[in-house]
Amino acid sequence: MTARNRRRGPSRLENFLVYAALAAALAFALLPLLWGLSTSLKAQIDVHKMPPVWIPSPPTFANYADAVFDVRFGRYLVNTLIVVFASLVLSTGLALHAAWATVRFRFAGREGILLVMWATIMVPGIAVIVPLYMASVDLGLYDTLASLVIVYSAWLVPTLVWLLRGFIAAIPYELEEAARIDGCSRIGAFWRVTMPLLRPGLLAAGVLVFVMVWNEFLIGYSLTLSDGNRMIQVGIYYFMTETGVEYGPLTAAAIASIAPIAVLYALLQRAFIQGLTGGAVKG
Amino acid sequence: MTVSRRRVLAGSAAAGAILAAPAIVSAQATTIELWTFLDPNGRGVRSELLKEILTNFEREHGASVRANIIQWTEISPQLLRAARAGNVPDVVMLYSPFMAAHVQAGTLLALDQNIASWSQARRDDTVMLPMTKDRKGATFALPWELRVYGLLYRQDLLAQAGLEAPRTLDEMTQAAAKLQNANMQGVGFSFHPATSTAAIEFAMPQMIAHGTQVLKDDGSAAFGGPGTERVLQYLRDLVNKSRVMSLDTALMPSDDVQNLGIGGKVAMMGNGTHRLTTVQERSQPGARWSFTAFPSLDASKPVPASLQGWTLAVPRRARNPQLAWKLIELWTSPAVQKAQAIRAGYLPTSRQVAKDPEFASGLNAQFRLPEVVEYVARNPLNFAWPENSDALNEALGRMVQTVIGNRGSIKDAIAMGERTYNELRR
Repeated sequence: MTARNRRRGPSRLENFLVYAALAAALAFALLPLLWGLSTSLKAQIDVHKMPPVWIPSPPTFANYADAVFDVRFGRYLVNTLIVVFASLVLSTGLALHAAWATVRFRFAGREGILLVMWATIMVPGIAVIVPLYMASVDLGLYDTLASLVIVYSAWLVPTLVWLLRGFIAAIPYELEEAARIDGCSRIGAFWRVTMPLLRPGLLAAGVLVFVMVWNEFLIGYSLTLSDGNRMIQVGIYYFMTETGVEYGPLTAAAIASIAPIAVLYALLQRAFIQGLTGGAVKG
Repeated sequence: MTVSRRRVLAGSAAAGAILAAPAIVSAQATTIELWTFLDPNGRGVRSELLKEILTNFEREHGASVRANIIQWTEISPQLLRAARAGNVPDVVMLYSPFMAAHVQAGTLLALDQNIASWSQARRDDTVMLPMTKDRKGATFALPWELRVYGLLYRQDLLAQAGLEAPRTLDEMTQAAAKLQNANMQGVGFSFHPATSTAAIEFAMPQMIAHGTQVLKDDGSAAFGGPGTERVLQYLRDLVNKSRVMSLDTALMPSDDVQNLGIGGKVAMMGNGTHRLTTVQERSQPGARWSFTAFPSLDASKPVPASLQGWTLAVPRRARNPQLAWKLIELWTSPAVQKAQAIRAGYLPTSRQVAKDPEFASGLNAQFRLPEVVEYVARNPLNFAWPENSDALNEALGRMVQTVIGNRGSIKDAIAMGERTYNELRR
C-alpha cells in the first residue's frame, strides 16, 4: 500500500457500510422504545389493530392518565427513590472506605479479598434469590424496603470498590501525606484531602447505583409482597392482568419510568461513561 | 432564560414530593387485608364492582379493607410463602386449579361451620367447586365467580358465511376453512406449555370424553388410549393437513392468540368466558364475539365442561377470620352475584341468578352465557385435580406440541407426555 493510499479517506462504499451498520444498530435500540411510545399514545381499540399503526391519529394521553397519575404509580416512584438513595448512601459509603483501604494499605490477603469481591460480581442474581428470600423471612425483613436496601447495597459494593479504586489510585498519595504532616489524622486526610478530589468518581458511582437499582426487577419482585412496598419496575409488571396484557397503560408506565433515567443520563452522561470505564483503565 | 442543572434537579425533587403525597393513607381501627388480583381503584367495570363490594362491606361492618393487589399468577405461591413467614392476609383470592396445593399444605381454614350457619336455601343456591374440598369433604373456599373454557367465535363472520356455531370438531374445521383467507386464520388454540391452559382445558376434556383416564389412582399419568390418539390425530391434521391453524399460532402464549382474535386475525379461538368482555371491548367495531362449548369429536359425546373459578378463602392464622367470613358471605350473596353477572358478564355462583331473566340479556345474551350455564349443568367434568395442576398442563402441552410439530409417532408423544408428568409431579 502506498503512502498516498494510506492517506486517502474511506471510500464511498466504506462510508455507506459504516453508516448502514450504525443505522441498523440505532434502529435495533430505538425501535422497541418508539413502538412503546406509539402504543402508549393509542386508544385501547387501536392497540391490536392489524396492520399496526405507527403514528396514532389522534394520539391520546388516556393511558398516561390511567397509569402514571394513579396513586399507586406515585407510591412506587417514591419507594424506588427511597431505595435508590438509601442504597446509594450505604453502598457508596462502604465501598469508598473499602476501596481506599485496598489502595492505600498493604496487608495480608489484600489481593485475595479483591479477587473474591470480583468473583461475587460474576454470580448471577437468580442463583442467590432463594437464599436471599429465606434469609429475609428468617430475619423478619421480608416485604420491607430495608431488605431491598441491604441486598442492593451488598450487590453493588464489590462493583463500586473496583470502580472507586481506579479513581483513588489516580490521586497522589503525597497529598494525604502532606496533610498528615500538617496535623491531620489518617482518616482526616482522607476526608479533607482525598474526598474532594474524588468527586468525579463519586458522581460516576452514584449514577451507576441509580441506574442499576432503578432498573432492577428480580430482587424487587422476590423480596416484596405488598403494594405499599413495591418498586416501579415491579409495579409495571402488574399491567399483565388475568384477562390479558394492558398494553396501553403498561407502555405508558414503562415510558414514564424510563424518563428519570433518561434525564439523569442526559445531565450526567460524562460521569456515566467515566463510571463504566474509569475503574477499568486505572485499576 | 437559562435553566441550570441544579434547578432541574430541585424541580425533580419537588415533583417527587408532590407525587409522594397520595401515598400517605389514614389508618382505621379494624382493618382486614384482602389479597386480590383486581385493583378496586382501577378502571373498568370489574374494578368498579369490587370497589362497591368493599365499600358496602365497610359500611355494614364498620371495618376497613386493605386490598393488596398481587399479580394473578403469583397469589398462590405467595400465599404458600406467606404461610411460612407468618404474614398471611385475612381473605385471599385463589384460582380453583391451585386449590389442591393449599388444601394439601394446610394453609387454609375450613369454612364448614360458617357455611352451616346459612339457611338451607342459601346452601342449595350456592355453587361449590369440588377442588375446594379435601377428601373428607371439608370446604376451604367459596367461588365468587365461575368460568368455563370453550370456543370464542366471531358470530358476525359465521353469520355472513351462513354458518352456525360448530358442535363437532369436523364442523369447526370446515367453518375455519370457509372463514380463512389471506388475512385471517380459521382457528387459534395456544398450546404453549408455560403460558396457556389449552392443553388442560381443551385437549384433556376431549380425551376424558373418549374414555381416557388421564391419572391413575396412585396419581401417575395414564394419558394413553384410543380417545387420546384420536384427539391428537385431529390436532395434528388441524395444523398439518387442513391447515386452518398455523404451528406458529399453536405455539404462542394464550394472550398472543387472544390478541390475534382482537386484531381480527383469527375467527375462532379457545378461551374462557371470563375474557369475553375484554375481547369484545378491544375488538374493532362490527366484530361480534360469542361463545360455545368446545366442539367434540363425536356429536353424541359432548365434551365435559371444566368449571373453574376464583375463590375466596381464609388463611390459617388470619387475624380476623370472622370479619373475613362476613366479606366472603357478602361477596357470594345472590345480590352481589347478580350485579356481577349483569354488569360484568361473570358467570354467577348463585343458581337463582343464573336463572334470572336479567342475566340472559344484553351482552350476556350475545355471548350465550345462559346456554353455557345449562351446558355445564348437563356435562360437568368429573376429574380429581392433582396437587400440581401446572405439571399436568405442562406435560399435556408438551405432548400436544410434539404431535402438532410432526415429531414422531402419536404413541411416542403420549409416552413422552406420561414420562414428563411423572417426573414433574415428583
